[in-house]
Amino acid sequence: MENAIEIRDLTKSFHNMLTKEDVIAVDHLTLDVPPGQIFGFLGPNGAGKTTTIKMLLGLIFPDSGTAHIFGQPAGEIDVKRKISYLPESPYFYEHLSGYEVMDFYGRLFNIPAKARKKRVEELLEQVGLGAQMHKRLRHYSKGMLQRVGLAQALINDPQLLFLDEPTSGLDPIAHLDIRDLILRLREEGKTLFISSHQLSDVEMVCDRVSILNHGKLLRVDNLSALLAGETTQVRAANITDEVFQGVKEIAPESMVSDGALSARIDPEKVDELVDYIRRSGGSVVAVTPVQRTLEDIFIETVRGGNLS
Amino acid sequence: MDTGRSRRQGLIGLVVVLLVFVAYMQSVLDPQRQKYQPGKVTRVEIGTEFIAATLIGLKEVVAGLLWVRADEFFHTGNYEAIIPMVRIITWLDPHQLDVYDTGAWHLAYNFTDSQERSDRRYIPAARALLEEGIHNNPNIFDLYFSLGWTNFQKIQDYPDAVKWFRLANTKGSIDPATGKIRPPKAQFKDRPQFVGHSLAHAYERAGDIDQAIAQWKQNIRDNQAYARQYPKDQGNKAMIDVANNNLHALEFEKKVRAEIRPVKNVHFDAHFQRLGPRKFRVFGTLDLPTGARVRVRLADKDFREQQFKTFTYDINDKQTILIDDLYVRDGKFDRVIDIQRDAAIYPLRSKDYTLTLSFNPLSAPDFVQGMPAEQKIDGGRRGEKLQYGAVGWHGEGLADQKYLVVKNGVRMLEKQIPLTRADLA
Amino acid sequence: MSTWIIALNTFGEAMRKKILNVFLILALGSVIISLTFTFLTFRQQVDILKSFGLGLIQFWGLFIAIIMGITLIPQDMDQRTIYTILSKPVKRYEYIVGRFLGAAMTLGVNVLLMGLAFLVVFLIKVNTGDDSAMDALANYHIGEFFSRFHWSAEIPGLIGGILMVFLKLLLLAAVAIFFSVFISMTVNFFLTAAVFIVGSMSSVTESMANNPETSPLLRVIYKGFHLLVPNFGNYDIQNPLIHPDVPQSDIGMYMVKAALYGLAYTIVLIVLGVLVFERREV
Repeated sequence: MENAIEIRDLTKSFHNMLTKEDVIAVDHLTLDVPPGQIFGFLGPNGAGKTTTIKMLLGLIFPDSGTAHIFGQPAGEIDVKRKISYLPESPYFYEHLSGYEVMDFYGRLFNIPAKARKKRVEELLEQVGLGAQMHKRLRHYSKGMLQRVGLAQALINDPQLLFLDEPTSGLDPIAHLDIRDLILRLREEGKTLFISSHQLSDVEMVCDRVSILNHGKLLRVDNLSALLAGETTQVRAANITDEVFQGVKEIAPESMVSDGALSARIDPEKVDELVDYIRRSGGSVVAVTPVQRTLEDIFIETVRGGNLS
Repeated sequence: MDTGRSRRQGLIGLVVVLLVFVAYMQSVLDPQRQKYQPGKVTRVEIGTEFIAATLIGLKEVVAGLLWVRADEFFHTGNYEAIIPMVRIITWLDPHQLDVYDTGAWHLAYNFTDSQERSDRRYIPAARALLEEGIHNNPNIFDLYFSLGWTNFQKIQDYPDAVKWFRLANTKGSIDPATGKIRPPKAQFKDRPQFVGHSLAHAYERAGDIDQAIAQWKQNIRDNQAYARQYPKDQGNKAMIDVANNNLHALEFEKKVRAEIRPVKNVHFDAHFQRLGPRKFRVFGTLDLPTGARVRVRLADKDFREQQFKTFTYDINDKQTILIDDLYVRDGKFDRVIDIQRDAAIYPLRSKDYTLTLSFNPLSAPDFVQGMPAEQKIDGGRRGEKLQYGAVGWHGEGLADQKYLVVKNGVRMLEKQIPLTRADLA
Repeated sequence: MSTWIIALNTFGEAMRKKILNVFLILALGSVIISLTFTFLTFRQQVDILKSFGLGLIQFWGLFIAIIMGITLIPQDMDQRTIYTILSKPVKRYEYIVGRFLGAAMTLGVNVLLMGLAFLVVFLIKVNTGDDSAMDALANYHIGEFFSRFHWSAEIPGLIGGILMVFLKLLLLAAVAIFFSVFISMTVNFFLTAAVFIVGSMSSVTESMANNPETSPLLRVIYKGFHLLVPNFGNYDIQNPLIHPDVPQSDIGMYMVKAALYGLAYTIVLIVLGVLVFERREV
């Protein structure tokens, strides 16, 4: 089965007018997204996530490299029929009501009038705007606009959705609603490409995650694989500086203060470390298994990316 | 990608072809556009503050607003403010006849000194304004007539009045209902009568009595034609009568005045007396009936009237020219001319001046030129003797030797008194 | 198809924005005010009414054309509504052409309404006076009103004049929209205004090109400039309409040619706008 998204060596740089320097926003990005997945596209602000999405939508053009969606070059009209896009903090024509703006987008997909009316009402109902659909958008709250954004992204029953920071700035209830919707879409077999810097959302819903920083893809893997591999935390007392040097050789991720040690190591190395501490006159206080979070991996990866 | 490129190249090709077409169309439009867009920007100096509104196609609106504003100035007597506005308005919209007409009238009549004499330095400007208006509206009688009338009534240059009245009499008039020009013959009913009549009067004042008679005959024919065209209008019939009366009177006068010989010495003389700074007395004798007039003209010795190619109100304010008409009463005339408060109009910048006092028979009223004592035209008595002392159209009755000058076949009386600034200032 | 949807949306937005209605009310009010110069002669009043009517239609039209032209597209980009439109199956040319047609419809409806108001006022004016249709109406003689009422021979000319104003505004909107594809709103406002002023000075640019005192090279440059600048001055033909006494031979043909000129130029600008926009990153 062909990939929903296939990115090869995609590169894009912008010219900074102030510093007169070219800034590389996306740097030789290569990425495949198989269909039916919820793909988390992670990275700190300015990592190049939105730039990548815009290239996939044909809103901006790559300097080099290619991007294909369902086997067709990104940006083609035929592709656009099958995809949809929810921009970050979307803004719509505020002279229109929720119903009218949906109707407008429905027309752009040539949906016949009868079907369009039904679909618009259904979708607005689904995102919880049924009661307010005839109010002008200028009277909508940010959360309501985000819901309209989601509804418009569903108007064409897309196979692939690009959601750019879909939960940013939302109240907790809207947050949950959107997460439920995402999960429902997965059940329907849609492919979702979600860019986010809010990790807990992604952790809950994503099948696969990539981490981007400074335009470079640092990691991409299934969420389960990323999170796999427990670590163990070892805490000990009476650790002199001399002893700590030895600890660091076994457990590089460790720190000491006032003789109290905190170290993270692979479970297989726990025995070795505990033996060493005992031999050296330290006393082990606790040995706890720790589940890694996406946040850990994210910070780890981004920091590592920074160093390299 | 290739189809995209060839499509772009096709579109660029389309743009080039269309631009060539656009340039071609512009060259086709240009000559015609000039006809619909009057006013050559380069000919007249205009303040930049007016450029903006006029450049965006609102010329006529600005002109209309300015003219409404000018009307307010007129009602408050602020004539100085009107003239620059007339310049701007006629530049913006050279087809507003009233603006030329009213503007020229202000120039010729409304700038007056403290004794109600008009400032003659504006006369060339008034004439230039009307000539410009005629240039811009050559097919309408109004401004030709106005220029004729200014010459006839204000300047008293009768040959020039004849010239402009004749032209006016060949032009059309604006139909007040549609705004379109009516050709000279199927005319608005008021136009030909007063133009043709004025032309006849001007011929008479110019001394060309035969032409005046011929014109009256023509006027009668014209008036009859109009009466046929507008049979309901009683006014047309009345105008036929007026023309008839004038024709008969003139023919009769011609007959009786042909017998006038130089018998009457009117003892014309004139004197200047200084009364103080910018105040003097002009007096003298002219033994003609009360109502005859002596023209006074005080001017710089080397005075030349300004000549304007296009209208400007930038007159030469160093010139001094004063013209007044003195009425004769009991064979004498006497007037104190006080210009103490009129230093702006009469700057007295020259060293030398000429004071001219003159009597022109052509400007004189009928009873001075010579009219039977009890003249009646229709069915009345004819062949009555003329009143004693008739001077005739051309001064045929004048027997004065002193101060007699003959200009263009007219025997005039004229005395020139040289003056210096010390006499006047 | 998308073109039409975007055009309708643009038109609907303009109609819902009260600012356009304000212009309409102002235009109507001003036309009525222009009826009040009763101290002038009747003919002068008619002339003033015509110059005010045509002038005001153009004046308010200029506002609408420039404001719509400079804001329509940059506003979509600033507010990112363009993302949701261009990520749908809408071709970029459809978006530009749709925006332009929407502006054209807005201008058309506004000019039409203002023009109708003006013609009605004009017809009332020429039917005013002693023994006129309006006089009969004032005395409740309805039958008399209809028998006295007369159309004016000037109406076709005035309709032509209103059409010329519309074409001029259309060209101006195209200029503004073309620039708006790659120039910010504020800069575009002054740029479009400058192009309009220069383009309205057709007589000046033409006389520069034909001035025998200028060097031949400069004259060729001026000539090229004159021929290629959008000559809004081509549409300033109100003078012969205000003064029917001025001979107006072939004015109908002139209008047709001016219309062709404007249409061609408008297409040029929109196609150029499309070419630039297709390469533009949003």
